[in-house]
Amino acid sequence: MATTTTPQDVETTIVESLVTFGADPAEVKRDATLEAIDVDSLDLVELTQVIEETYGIDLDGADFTSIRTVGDVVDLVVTRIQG
Amino acid sequence: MTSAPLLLTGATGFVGMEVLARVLEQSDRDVIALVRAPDDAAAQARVDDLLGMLVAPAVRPHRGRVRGVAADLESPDLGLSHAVRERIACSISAIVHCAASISFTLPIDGARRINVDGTREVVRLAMQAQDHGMLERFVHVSTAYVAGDRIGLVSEHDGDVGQGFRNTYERTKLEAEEVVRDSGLPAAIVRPSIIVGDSATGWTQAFNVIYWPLQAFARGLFPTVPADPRARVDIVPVDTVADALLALLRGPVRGGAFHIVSGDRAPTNRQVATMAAAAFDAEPPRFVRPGEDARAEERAGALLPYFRVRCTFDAHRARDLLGVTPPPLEEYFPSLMRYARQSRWGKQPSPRWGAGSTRRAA
Repeated sequence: MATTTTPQDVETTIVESLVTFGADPAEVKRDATLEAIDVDSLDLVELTQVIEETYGIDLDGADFTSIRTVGDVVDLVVTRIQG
Repeated sequence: MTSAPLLLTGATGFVGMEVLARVLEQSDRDVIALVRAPDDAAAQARVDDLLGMLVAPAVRPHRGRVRGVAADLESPDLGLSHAVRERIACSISAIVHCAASISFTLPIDGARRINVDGTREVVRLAMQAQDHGMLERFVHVSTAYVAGDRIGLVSEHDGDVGQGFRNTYERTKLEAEEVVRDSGLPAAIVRPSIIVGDSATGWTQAFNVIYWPLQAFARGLFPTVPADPRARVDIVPVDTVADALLALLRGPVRGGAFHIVSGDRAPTNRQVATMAAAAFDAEPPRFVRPGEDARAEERAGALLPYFRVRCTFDAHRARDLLGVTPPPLEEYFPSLMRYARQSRWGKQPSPRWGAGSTRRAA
């Protein structure tokens, strides 16, 4: 599965989740900060669960300390899948 | 009959704004609101914004009844000039002190500056008003959790009995009570437990504290909870807290401490988690022992110690002297969850006057 996952797939998964949390689809861009699109701490918990279930990787709180934008989340997940 | 103005601190906080709205809706009394702002014009602008959210356009004459005054709990003399202090002290007949830091994680010095030194400054202003023969009532908003880590029944008469504290919030709120008690003012101390939205409409402006785990249960994000399933979680709706504060402003009783709590009718952690999950068709969580799920404990963060509360608050005085008892949580829980759903847990808030259908419209 992981071998066929592209960065674009990851981005799509993450953007779709953020939209279900209530973010405006027009605003969920790679350079949008999580704060600007109103992502709160529980949204992050749910997003983590979605990512872990979809890609079979483990994330913890420390992974998110330097995350600011949607693109940062995508890059983190892509790096983990490849690692 | 018109009473002299009320001085209110913390009007922009959840309890303070409910007091403000009630006083405007239910009396002719004017209000002086001390709010944090660079100057009085900015303070008035904050107050006007607040009123827009609190009271319906049809009753906007309220607007002229609230004067915003720029002040700061952390500044000497509350940051008020001598002349302004004197003018306030000569005009008010009551003070409700709601302003506080409710952060569980502030370092002790910062928490003390706001909660203890700030209360000392408000008390000094109260004594100045008393010297002018004006002050009739002083109501201090505290918290039932000044009881800290006590076990068993906690009386409204109890203060410092050597208890330990979960955080700097509990410690500094108890120290603030001592400042009020030692002042000799004819003061009432109101100690609510965990405050949630209005029992009729569910409206809240503060989706914090208990709403975080409630939302987590509702979204199925807390599959395991590091809590004692049988421990009580004591919750009260904001309207009950406001009823008590208004009773202390208008009724025959004006002194002593009052628990505004569910007491021995408070539900258990398991009951609350089950209700929240059921309201959103989520799986109820599984309760695990301390140490069993480090990740769940990390997620609970500063709330974790509140998952293991082992005391029950007695509320005889509130019931017998103020006639105030909260409704059972299961009765108004659907209203809370309805507003939580409608406002997306505060991401799309409604004004207070627009929440629910038929509320007291002044």
